[in-house]
Amino acid sequence: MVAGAPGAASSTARALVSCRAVEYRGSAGKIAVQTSPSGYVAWGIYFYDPAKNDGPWVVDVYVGSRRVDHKKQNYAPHGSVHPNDARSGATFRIKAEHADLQGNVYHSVPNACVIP
Amino acid sequence: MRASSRKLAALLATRLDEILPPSLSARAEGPRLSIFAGGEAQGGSAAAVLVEDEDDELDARIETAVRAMLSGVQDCVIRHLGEPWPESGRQGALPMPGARVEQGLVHLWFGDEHAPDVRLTPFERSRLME
Repeated sequence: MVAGAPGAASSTARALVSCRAVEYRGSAGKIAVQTSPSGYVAWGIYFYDPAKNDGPWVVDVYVGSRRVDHKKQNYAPHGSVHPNDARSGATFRIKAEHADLQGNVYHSVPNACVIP
Repeated sequence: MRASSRKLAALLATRLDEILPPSLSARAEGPRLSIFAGGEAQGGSAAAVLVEDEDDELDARIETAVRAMLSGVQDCVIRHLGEPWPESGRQGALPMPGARVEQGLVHLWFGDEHAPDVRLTPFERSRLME
């Protein structure tokens, strides 16, 4: 994650990398993605200041154009995509939106990696 | 005919109630599957809506949605208990959720498909349709 202000995304120019282990850092937080040897793609979104995690989150996880998870919750999101949904060679990406308890709205930085 | 996220959430809620620790219960709230402890919502999963996406064949969408829902519930229960759930016969291993649609039946489990640690009661795919 997480860009708290317009233009704050720091990873827009990053080329597609492997999802084996990658982080996308924004101004307020980061998205971490890693793939286990058995093919599960685990991901999490973390604010640098954990106090900002509280508040509503809406997260969609995609493999290619196919949505494989949807989360709507009030705590920091993370998940694990089953190998049957995380096919090798496909692009994995996360779209997230969050409002903290002060009403600040955050959007995910651009992110995408190739599932090994 | 299309699959209903609300029906999927309701079907999974009844099945999860069979296996959740006694301090927890599952309830469908529209398309959302929520886990409660003492009447207080602990979280759950909103992934039932995946069955209504139109980018893949229905059986694949059902399997994806069920796996994501079970994963979300598993995460919620682990956060509440502070320990792995469900229990695994293999020490140190966390049984991962699985789902498969076969001959019109939706099978769901935690662990290895062929020797699961927990198997939930299957349901007929037709019960999702509206």
